[in-house]
Amino acid sequence: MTNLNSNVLVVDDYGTMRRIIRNLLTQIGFSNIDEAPDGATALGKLRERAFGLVISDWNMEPMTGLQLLQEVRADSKLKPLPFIMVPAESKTENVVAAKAAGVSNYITKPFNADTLKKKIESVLGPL
Amino acid sequence: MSTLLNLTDEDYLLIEDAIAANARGRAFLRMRDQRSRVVATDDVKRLVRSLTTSVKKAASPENEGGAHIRILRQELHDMSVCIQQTRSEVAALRPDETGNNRIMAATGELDAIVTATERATSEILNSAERIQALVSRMPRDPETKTICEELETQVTEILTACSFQDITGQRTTKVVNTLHYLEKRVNSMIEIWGPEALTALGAVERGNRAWRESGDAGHRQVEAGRGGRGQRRGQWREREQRRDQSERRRRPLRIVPTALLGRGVSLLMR
Repeated sequence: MTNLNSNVLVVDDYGTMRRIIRNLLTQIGFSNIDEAPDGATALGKLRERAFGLVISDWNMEPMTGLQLLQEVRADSKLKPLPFIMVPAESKTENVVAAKAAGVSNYITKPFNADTLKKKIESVLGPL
Repeated sequence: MSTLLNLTDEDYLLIEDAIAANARGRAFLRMRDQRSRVVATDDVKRLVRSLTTSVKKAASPENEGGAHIRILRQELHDMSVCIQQTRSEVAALRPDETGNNRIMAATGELDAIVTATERATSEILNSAERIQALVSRMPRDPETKTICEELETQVTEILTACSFQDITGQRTTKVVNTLHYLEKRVNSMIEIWGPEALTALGAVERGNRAWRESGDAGHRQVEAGRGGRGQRRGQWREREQRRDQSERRRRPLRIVPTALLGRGVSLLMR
């Protein structure tokens, strides 16, 4: 399975943001894109079928993106899953916390398609 | 003058046991205990009366501590009024969209702003995606290839620019949460003081302030002209800041004893 055939899960509580990221991923070449409006729904989907990449917002409630990442890394089956965090602010302590929790990469909003593609390639390899 | 004799604990217990050896002795000890309790109760009542008098004196308007409490109460009242005023002004800025039930249903005016921007962003995305679909159907001959690629690039720029709505929404949510937090704290403090006392005090202070400022209010209006709402709010804030500075210079704010005695004592002040 090539990288572009991977199932990608986009997690964000704002519908427009999920739509934007989905559109950018489609332009990059991904075709299997799923969405989740919150961490709990995302966790359920991740445990139901295999995904190759998670792109998640930070500020969500009740489960934040960081908590979702910690849950994923704590699950033996989900632990190796590439996880890219997409917060709206670049606080140093958040970056440190995400790295400590095992994030694969980090993109601060707003970003363009090129930035997203480069960050994904740094995690999945050349697309 | 002879000094008082002090007994050791051991001597006290021996004498107590000796008295309690018969019925008359035990009756004496019971009566002694009852009289001691009465004396202790009287002492406590005297202390409470004395404390009440001191607290009332501290809280009186003539006392400097009482003035601090009035200032605190006034500040709480002003903060509550300001929050209510902000709510009203934000509500007044709401566009007239009589057919849009989604906005009307949104909780809070700032939440309605987030919803409105989300709807507008969605419409922009709809149009951008329609353009993408049309561009994808265009033939890619040498003449149109460059134009098509440029169109796709520009559509992508539109998409990424629309992420402003997410950032705006998160910032607005932070502001809303902070306002809720402040409002909750102010309301808690108002509940302790008593809303009727604050409202009455607010009316008195507004009257005093208006009287103090009536001398130069007309002159200031002539200079500034009849500005918009933002200008009038700015002038009000300037007056408040000058009043605060002069108050602080005359009476530096200290922790008033009554604030530390809790609700029970504060009730004695009413």
